[in-house]
Amino acid sequence: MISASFLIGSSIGDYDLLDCIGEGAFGTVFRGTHIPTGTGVAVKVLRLGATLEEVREFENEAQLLARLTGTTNVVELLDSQTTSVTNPRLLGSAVPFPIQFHVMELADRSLDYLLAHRDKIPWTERILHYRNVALGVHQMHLRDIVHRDLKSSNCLLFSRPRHVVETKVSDLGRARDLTQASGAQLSSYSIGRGDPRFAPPEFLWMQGIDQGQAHRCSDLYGLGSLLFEVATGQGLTGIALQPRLGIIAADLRLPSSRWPVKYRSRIPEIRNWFDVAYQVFAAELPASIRTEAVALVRQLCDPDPDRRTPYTRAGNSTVPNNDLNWIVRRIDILGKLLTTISQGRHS
Amino acid sequence: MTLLNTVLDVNGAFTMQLGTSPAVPSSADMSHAHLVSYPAVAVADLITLQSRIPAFRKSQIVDPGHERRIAYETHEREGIVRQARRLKEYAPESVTTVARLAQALLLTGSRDEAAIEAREVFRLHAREALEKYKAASEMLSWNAPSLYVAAMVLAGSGKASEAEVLLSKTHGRTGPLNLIYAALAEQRRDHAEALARLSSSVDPETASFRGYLLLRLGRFGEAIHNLRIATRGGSPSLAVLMNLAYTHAALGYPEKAVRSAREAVATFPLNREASSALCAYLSAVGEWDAASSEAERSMAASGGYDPKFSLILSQALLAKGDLHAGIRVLRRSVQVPSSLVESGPLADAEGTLAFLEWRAGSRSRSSSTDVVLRLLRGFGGGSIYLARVYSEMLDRIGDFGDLPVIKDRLEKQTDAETVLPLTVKIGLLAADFERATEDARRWTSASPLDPRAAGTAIILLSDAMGDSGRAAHLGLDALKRMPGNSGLRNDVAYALVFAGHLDLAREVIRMTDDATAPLVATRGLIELAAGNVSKGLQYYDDAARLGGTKGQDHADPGEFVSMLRIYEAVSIHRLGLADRPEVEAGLAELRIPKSLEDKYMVGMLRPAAERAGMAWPGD
Repeated sequence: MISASFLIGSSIGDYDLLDCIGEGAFGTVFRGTHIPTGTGVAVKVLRLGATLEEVREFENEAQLLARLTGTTNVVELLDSQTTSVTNPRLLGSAVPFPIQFHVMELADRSLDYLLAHRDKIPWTERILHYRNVALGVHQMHLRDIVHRDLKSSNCLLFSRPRHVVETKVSDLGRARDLTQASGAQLSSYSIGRGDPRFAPPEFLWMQGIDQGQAHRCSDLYGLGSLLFEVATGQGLTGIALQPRLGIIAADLRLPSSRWPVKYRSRIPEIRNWFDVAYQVFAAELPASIRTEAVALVRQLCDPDPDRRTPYTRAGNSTVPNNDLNWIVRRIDILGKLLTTISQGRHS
Repeated sequence: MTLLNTVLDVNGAFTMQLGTSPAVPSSADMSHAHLVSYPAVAVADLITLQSRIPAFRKSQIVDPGHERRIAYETHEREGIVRQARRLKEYAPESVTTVARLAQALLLTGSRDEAAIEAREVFRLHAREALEKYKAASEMLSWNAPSLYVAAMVLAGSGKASEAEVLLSKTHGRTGPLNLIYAALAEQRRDHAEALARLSSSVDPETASFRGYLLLRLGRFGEAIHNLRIATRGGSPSLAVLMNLAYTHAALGYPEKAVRSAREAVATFPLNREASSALCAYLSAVGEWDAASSEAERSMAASGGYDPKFSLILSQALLAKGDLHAGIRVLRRSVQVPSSLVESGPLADAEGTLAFLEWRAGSRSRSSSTDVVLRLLRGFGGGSIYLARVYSEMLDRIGDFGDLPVIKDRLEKQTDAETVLPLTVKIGLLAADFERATEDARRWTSASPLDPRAAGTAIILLSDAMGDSGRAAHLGLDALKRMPGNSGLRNDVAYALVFAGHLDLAREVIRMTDDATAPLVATRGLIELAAGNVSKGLQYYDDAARLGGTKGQDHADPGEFVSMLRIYEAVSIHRLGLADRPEVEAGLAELRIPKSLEDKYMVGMLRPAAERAGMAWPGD
């Protein structure tokens, strides 16, 4: 991969690129300045030599962020452009080459950085960050957009006046607009992409499908996994399934026509495999929210995607497909439990 | 009579007798019932996805799923590792960030680098522990998730022993850390140490693991207590249900074992292990039809061509006495294109088919041996099952074939306990009956649900070692666990006769309505011991007619009859009936054919004959 880091110190469009603050699978993020106003911004530059699929995903991200403008908990897109730069040092000639970039509001850092020292972060604050992310995903789902790659490194923190810190969902590269026909290959949905330590188990068996409810359910898993990460600093799937990678690999050596049945047959076992991870999780939680938090993660991360939403006894979903208010309410209960106990201690 | 239902069992696919020949498909056994270890599997499978990806070969049809996965791994991994490195650079002293990097590196195949970072997690934790301990004297349970990840990464990088050492130095291990610590001891088969490492915690996971370890140590009563605790969570795991079934069977309650196995199948209807265990327990209680139905159901659920289920179905058919139907099932299963099925079970099915065809007389012994040896060489050293099939074809003292080499290879892959059936067989082929008896007793303890283990120990104790009392005791214990196994009943009745418990022998043999040649002969033995000499001899003649008839599972009916007559003569001497006029003619005619002279079965009988003062024919 050709890194775009040579751009540090140069300008593209109306933006000065000051330093590199992040590198992902298909791009580099710079801290920059909007030259006319002097405002700090984040500039995400698509890597040079990106594949057609990556270009499509990059453009898709801009379109989706534009559709989500005005939402409180999704990162705001300020600009998106294609420009050209020349760099004789890199290419050996002064021929200009195109650069695609997005400009977004500048965050202080991402949530994973905060979790690096999570023992210093009070639980009430952690739950608040988590609630903000859940709200962001809720806002996306209400607009028929699914994220498909939720993890702490894709959640950004913004300092606001009066010591308020906002948390917003970012990195919509793998997001999907459910109102539009898919532009990607079907197989890219089966595996889901992203980091396997945080991916829903069905993606590891390549059972993701390009269907609205399936996408929403993968986000539910992402939210459950994020609460696990907020508590432990590690990925739920990584802890639960790393010891089983041999089994997964063996299942995937079967002809792909047999993978769906294989995955369905594994679901009860996978539930058991997750139990150890839930023990790790429970040990990290304050006693006041332990039962409630484990129950929430258990539900959101059920290996059977259809069981991640609340169901009535008759098997009907009790909430509209795109409404995640029920999760926000349950997070509020966690917050309430934390503050009640804490107040009780003080009194 | 004797007829050794021993020595030849091939992991229970069928029970055979008399070394070479007359194998009567008798009751199936519970060899498909086995312990399920949750954490042991976990640690053993700590390997990266990447290392398991089959290399592309030229002219190979490319499955788009596989192609996608490989593209995914090469494309995405750089980003995952880069992100983890950045995070570590930001907080190099945080065990969280270092553990994340370690796991990212392992997932993308950089095992050595992953191990370095995992060690760093332990180092940072130790330092932090020291500081905090000095500051607040508080005991520690923090960093558990990161330590858990680091231990898994080390084990996954092939450094399990190092993970174990590092965990041993970690203070304040929480439940999950203790689980992985115990699992590492279990991985090197130190069950007692693993058990000691589990805290007194009563959570279902720990109880399940403790139950498994207690089973491995043969402490069934304590095991069942722990396994019951493990079921209290409401949704017991497959391992718990299957181990519960195993414990019930081992304690001599096969009906309860069936119940637990049925629950496992109901909860995990598509699980192959659960289904095969249920078939085994159903067979153990003599419910052959139910066992066949379950095998057929599972086979249909798995697409109709899973060779593992073909083996189980053929076993059920053999147990019902239909050798040819069993062969037909296996023939169908080996015709499935190998690309559609797993190579291990397919090799097992093919080897079993070759073996059964020999038993049915439609294939020569050498051809069957060639097939099995080819499979053993082709399948990474072969399975223990296949090695046992091969060992069944060796029956002459001094003729070890490739068995010692195969045993050594399998022992390196597994452990000494797993290859005990092969160790016993090598002892028999070396005519070292004392050693074989000791090994057979260990085998019986290690595999309490394997009728072949118990049968071999019974016959060795009774004939070669002359300790029929102990043989009968061991046999009655085994019979409690496997009451439906008519072959085992035959062996136990045989030992009981020479231990002087005639009524009990009669009772044991009455419980089976099988009319196989060995059982008919054993009825004759009981009559002889009861003093009904003419009636006893009549039973022996009936058994000889039955066993000598084509259609029974005897590769060589003539050999079977000769063997039967040797057993008859030795038994007459052991019972002190050699001077009775009714037996005079038969004893005078006794000859040991040259083809039987060096059979280890005959060798095992010789010490019994010597003790009874019998002049060995031909000496």
